[in-house]
Amino acid sequence: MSVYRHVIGLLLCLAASGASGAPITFNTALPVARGEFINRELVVLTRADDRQRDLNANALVSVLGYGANADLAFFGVLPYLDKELKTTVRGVRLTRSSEGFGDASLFARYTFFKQNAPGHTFRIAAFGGVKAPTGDDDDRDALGRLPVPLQSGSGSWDVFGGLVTTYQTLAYQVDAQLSYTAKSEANNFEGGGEIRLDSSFQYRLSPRTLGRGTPDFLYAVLEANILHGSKNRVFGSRDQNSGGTSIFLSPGLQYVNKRFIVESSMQLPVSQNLNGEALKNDYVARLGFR
Amino acid sequence: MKTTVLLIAVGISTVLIYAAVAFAGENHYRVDVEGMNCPFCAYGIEKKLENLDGVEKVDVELEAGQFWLEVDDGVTLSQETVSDIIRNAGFTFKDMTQHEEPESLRNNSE
Repeated sequence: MSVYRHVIGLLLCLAASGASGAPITFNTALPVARGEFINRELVVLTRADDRQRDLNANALVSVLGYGANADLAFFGVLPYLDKELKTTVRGVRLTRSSEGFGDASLFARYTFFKQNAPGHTFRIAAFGGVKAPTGDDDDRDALGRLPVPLQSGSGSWDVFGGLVTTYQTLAYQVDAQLSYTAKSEANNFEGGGEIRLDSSFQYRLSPRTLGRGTPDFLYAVLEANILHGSKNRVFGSRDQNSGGTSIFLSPGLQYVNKRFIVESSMQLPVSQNLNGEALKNDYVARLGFR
Repeated sequence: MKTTVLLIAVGISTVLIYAAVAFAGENHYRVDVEGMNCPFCAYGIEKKLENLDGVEKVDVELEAGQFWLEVDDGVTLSQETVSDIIRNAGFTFKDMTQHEEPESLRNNSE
């Protein structure tokens, strides 16, 4: 059931920081001004099913960023999760669900290279942080304790880090990110480590030509995400129905105003080479505001 | 003697009038910035420039990478203060020059 892990993994990478047009499914290296707070609210709807299982995982992800200086920014991410899993066991349809705040993440991002020039900027930043087990990891229903992936919280302290780069012009923007998440054991469950490679291309659709002043921008967005997860460990043994490699494409739109950004994308699986009977994603829809 | 005093007075007045006209005309600053490529980034800087004492109005020319600041008569902006705002926002301050109201802004306000 690697889809659960993907939900959490995606949440960790959603703190798109920047103030400006930025990728929808991951981070950016664009700056947060010194002393400024930025906020992002993102609705993430994940659907996955196979013959026996049907998963709906919805999340409202709140991100707060703070610019310590022009190069260093801090981010906090707090998801509110609503998960429901329907399974058929011996012909009986069972529904199990959980709802509540998930695990909070804190991370820092430091821009160690930047090249500003007329009409473009190029930046490379490193980021790293920790996911704390703030969500409920002992939720129960009439059938007993919910399985670990269905809990709002993981119970584990996880660390993550990576590199992100951005090249932005007035007409288009390219972002790329390489990240790794290492997970620790909790409740006899240890999620497999996850490596991700993300890329994003944004192209300004409107206005076609820039006039005077500061017009609103409408970007077409196309993002690609490659995720590889190691197998989970349950009671010390590898779960053969977990882990694997997925490739997603996410077309989307982003409207950038002087005061706010509205964005939406639909993440679609291109390839899901998952181990055993790991549940595959149908789609992940996102609607965001910052 | 009277003629001399009159000529001096006229001369001083002329100089003062020219100085006043010239001073009143140059109440705009152009700030050149590099690396700023979207409306959202520009707005963060615009807000901070608008909060500077004596700044009446800020116009952004995104394509040119320029901020145009209109200041109250007699106000002189510190280049250090302005460049700090730009740098703290993560962009590169290039130059700041004093101007008369540019044609483009005059058309904007009509």
